[in-house]
Amino acid sequence: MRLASSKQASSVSKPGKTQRPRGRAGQSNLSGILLVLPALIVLGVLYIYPLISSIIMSFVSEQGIGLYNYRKAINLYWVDIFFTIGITLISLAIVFIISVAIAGYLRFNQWPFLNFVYRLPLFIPFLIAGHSMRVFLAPHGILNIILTRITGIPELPGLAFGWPGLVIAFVWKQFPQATLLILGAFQSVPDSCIEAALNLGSNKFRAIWQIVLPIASPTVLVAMVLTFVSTIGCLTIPLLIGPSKPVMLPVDMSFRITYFNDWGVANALGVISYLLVIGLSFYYLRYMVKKEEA
Amino acid sequence: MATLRIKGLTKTYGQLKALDNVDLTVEEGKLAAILGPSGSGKSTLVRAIAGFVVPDCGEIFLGERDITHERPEHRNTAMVFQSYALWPHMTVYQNIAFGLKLKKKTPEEIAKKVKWALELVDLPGLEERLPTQLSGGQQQRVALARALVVDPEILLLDEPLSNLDAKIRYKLRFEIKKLQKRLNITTIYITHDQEEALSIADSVVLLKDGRVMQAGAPQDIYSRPGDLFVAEFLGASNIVTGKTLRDEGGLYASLGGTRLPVPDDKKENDEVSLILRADEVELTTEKPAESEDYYVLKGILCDQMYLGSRWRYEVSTPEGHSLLVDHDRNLAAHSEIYLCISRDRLYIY
Repeated sequence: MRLASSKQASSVSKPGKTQRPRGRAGQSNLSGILLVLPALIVLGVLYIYPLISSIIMSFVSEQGIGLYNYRKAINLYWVDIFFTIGITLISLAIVFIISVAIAGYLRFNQWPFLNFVYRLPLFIPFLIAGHSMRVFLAPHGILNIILTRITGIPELPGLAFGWPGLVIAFVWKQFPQATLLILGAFQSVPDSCIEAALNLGSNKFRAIWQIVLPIASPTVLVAMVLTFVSTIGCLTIPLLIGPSKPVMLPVDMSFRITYFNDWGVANALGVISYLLVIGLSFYYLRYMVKKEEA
Repeated sequence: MATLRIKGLTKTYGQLKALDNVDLTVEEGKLAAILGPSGSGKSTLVRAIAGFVVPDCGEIFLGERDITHERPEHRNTAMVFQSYALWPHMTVYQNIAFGLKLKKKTPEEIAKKVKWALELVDLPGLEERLPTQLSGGQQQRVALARALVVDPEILLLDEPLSNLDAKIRYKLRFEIKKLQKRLNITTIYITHDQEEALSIADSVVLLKDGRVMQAGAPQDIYSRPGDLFVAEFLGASNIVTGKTLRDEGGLYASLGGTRLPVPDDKKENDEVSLILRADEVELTTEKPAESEDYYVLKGILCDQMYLGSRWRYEVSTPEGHSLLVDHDRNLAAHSEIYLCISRDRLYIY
C-alpha cells in the first residue's frame, strides 16, 4: 500500500515539478535582492554618498567652485603627500617580506605556536595597537629599557614619534592580515608543484620565490592592495605614534576639520588619497587583465 | 644512470604501515613497475626515493651513494607526477629550463638541451606555449621532458598516465618504454593498472599494505602468481572458492567433476581457492583424451556474451560454480562441454 501511494504521489507531483523551477527562479531573484539589500544600503549610505559628496565638496570653497581647495592642499601639504606615499610603500614592502617569509615557512613546516602568535595583532584595535607601540618604542619605553640592559648604553633615542616608529607600528598591525591571506594562497598551491621544483634541485627558498609566489600572485596582490588601502587611510596610528611633522594625510584632514572647520581642503586631501588608491588599483587591474588574457 | 637498492624500508603513519620492510633492487637501465591497489604504499615508496617522505628505517642506495637522508634537491632523481605538476605561470620552455638553470648551465646550453628534450618527447615548436594551452597528453610529455632534461640518475613516474584517456594512455605507454630504453635510464613506474605494468616493465613488484607480495619478470609473475592476491590482482577472471575433500586417495578439491590437488598445508574442510583465466581455458564439445598436461573439467553452457573477436561463455560446473570461458565460435546454449586447462594454468591456493 505504502509503495503504491508513494508512487501516486510522485506521479502527481511530476507536473508540479516541471513548473516549480520558474516559480523558484522568480522567488530566488526577489529573495536574492532582499538578501543583498542591507549591504547595498550600507554601501550606499556610508560609502557611495560620502564619496560623491566629498568629491563635490572638494571643489567648493568660499571663492566659489574651482580648484582652490586643491591648490591650497598641495601648497600646504605636498610634503605630507609624499611622506604618506613613502611611509605606505615602505610599510608595504616590509609587510610583503615578513608575510611572505612567514607564509613560506608555514607552507613547509608545522609550527602551531607561530601560526597562532602571528595572528594576535589582528585582534588588537588600531587605537590599542598605536598606543602600545607608543609605550613600547618611547625613549624610555620597554624596547629601550631592554636594549639598555643588554648593551649598557644608558640613553637610547626613542623610535616613537618618528617615521621608523610609524613604520614599525603599521607593519606590526598590518602583516597578520596579509600573512593570513598569503598563507591561504600558498597552501592552495598543490604540493606536487613544489615537489617538482625540489626534485629538480631547487631549495625551499627558491621554490617559494619562483614557484609558489608567482602561482599565488593574485591573492598576494589582493593582500598588498588591502594593506596599502588600510595603511594610507589610517588615522589613529599616525596620530598616536607618528612624528609631528611631516604627518600622514588622514592627520592633516582631521586637523583641517578640527581646528579650521575647513571641509573643503580636507575633502581635497581625501580625493588625493582616493587618487593614490585608484592609481594602485589601476596597476592591479591591468595585471589581472594581463593574467586573464594569458 | 645507476642501480637502485632499497633495504628494509619502513614507514608508518600512526597505526598505518605505509611501507613494511620493503626490499627492492632495480638494475641500471631497467624499468620496474610498482603495482598495487590504492593504499598499498606505492606512492609512499616513490616519494621516499625522491626524498619527500622520511622513512622510519631502512636504506636507499643510488649506485654507491646512500641517499636515505639526502635532501630531495641533492638526490638527482627526477619525478613525473600524476597531475603533471607543470608550473602554470611558466611557458613550456621555462618549465623545462628550470632544472637546467639550477645546474648553472649557460643560456646556450639550456636552449640546446630544451630543444633536445622537446624533440625527445615529440613536441618541437611548443616552447612558448603555457601549460594551460596544451592537452593532457602534451602536458604529460612536457613533464617527462622536464624530468629527463636534467639527466637524472633515476626516473620516477608516479601514475603518469592515469589522468589521460585510454587511447593516449596506450600510445604514451609505449613511447615511455622506448624513451627509457633509448636513454637507458633506471626507472620506477608506479601504476595500479596491471596491463600497463606487465606491458611496460622489465620487472614487476606487487605491493599490498606496504609489503612486497611478489616481484619478478612480468611473464613469471603472470604465469606463476605466488598467492591469491597476486593472481586476483593480475586479472583472474575466475576465482572459485570451495572446501577441501578427503577420500582414500587423500585430500583434494573438486571442480568440473575432476579431482584437483591442493596445497600441502591444507586440512580437510579448509577453504581452497581455484583460479583460472578465461582466455587460458580451451573449450571443446567433445571429450578430450586424458593427459598429464591438462585437467579436463565438465560443465554446461548457461549464458553467453559476444565480445567482438570471440564469445565469452558462462559455464556452470556440477559443483554449482560458474566459470567464464572464452571461445571463438558460437555454441548452442545448455550444451554439455569440456574445459581443457593446462596444469600450470590452474592456480590452487
